[in-house]
Amino acid sequence: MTHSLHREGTIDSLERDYALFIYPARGFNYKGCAPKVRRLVEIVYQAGPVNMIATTLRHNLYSGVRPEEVLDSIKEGSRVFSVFNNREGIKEALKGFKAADEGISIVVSGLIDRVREIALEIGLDPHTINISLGVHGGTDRLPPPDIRQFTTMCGHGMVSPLLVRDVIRRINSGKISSWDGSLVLAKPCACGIYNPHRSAELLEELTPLYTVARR
Amino acid sequence: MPVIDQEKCIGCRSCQTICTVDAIHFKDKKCKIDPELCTECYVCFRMKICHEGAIETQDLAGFYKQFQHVLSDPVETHGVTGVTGRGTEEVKTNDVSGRVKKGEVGLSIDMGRPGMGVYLRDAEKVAMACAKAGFKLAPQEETPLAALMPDLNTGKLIDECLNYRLLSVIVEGRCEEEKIKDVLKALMKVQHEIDTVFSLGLISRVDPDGHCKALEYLDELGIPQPHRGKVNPGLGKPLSTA
Repeated sequence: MTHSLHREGTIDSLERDYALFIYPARGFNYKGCAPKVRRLVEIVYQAGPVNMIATTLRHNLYSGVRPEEVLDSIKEGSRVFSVFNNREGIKEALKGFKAADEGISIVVSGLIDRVREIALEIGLDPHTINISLGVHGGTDRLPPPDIRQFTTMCGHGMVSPLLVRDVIRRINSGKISSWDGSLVLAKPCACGIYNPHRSAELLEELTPLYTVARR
Repeated sequence: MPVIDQEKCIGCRSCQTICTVDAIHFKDKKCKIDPELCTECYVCFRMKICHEGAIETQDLAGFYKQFQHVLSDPVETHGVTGVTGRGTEEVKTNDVSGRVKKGEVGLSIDMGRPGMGVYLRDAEKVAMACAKAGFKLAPQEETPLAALMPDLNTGKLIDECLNYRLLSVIVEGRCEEEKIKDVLKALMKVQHEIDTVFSLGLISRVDPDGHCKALEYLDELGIPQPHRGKVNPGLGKPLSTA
């Protein structure tokens, strides 16, 4: 999930995008962690995530998995990844985690200042931070930044730039709505952190600016 | 590895849109996967994108082919570290694992991201540049790339693996806070010698006043000041105080 760190977009758009990871640590608190992870997932549900996956499943909530299947699939060592499209949701989940005190590692990926603010409000002392220092190397060969706003929403790069362009073309030609296009993009994401709400917002903004021919 | 059955392919080109690295070519009214460019991420197969069922998988011959697939396909689990994705927990469990301690800085150099892919020869260049600057590369119990690195002090990879292309792989490790400027400087130099990109993450224990010494060097090195981060709020137990 390292790449949740390098999601791209405007600050305004990233204000509505927080990835959350529940992560038992091998060799430390792995053994017997399943009921604890399950309890934490229940807390996540109550806080209203917009996507989710468990590492025991190969699909997220938009590629054929029901929320109860995520819960049922949790076994020893399962990690669960989710995404929220608002600050209050992520705060609610963290509050619940603090109260539950299950001792499983949690990570929140988002705008640094916002996450720190939330931690402060709840009374959490952040332990470690991983800061994005951007993309380097042959960046001139990357797809344009507006396409990368979508592709970087999958933590493992499973959303291809060509799929984004294809969805824009289909929206522009009136075949699908922005929301349905967003769900098409969410499907390949195997880490459950593609945010379909943010993606639909971006498609609404972007599609009028694009004329995309099928190559 | 995934292949397209040429008898079944009707040339609709649906598979081209889903390929993460543009490795499917259309020629003579049929689609074909370029084995040189394919990173074995299997998204074309997993998503059942072909309505004709023309995409099939063949056995992955040999260790390096399997390594390429396990690292590129996020639903696979790495055998040694037991972690899905790219096979490393990195900072996500640092509150209990204590991998990056006070006074140290970690780096997570995500080679090939976003969406470009990486030949291991380029990962080697970056690992070697970092090692030379005093960076301690993570061992194979922590990160998969180290399994191809006989000597962590140099970062040199096994020659046989160099021409394999992965969707991405992480070069990771840590160094004393005083050495991070040299390591970042080495990275800013080696970025011009590779045929891909890397996304760079800097890992640090959180200072109570939010201070991180490494950030002081960014302007000088031409690295943009960060606005996104991954925060471990310290809810894991037993909590590492190291």
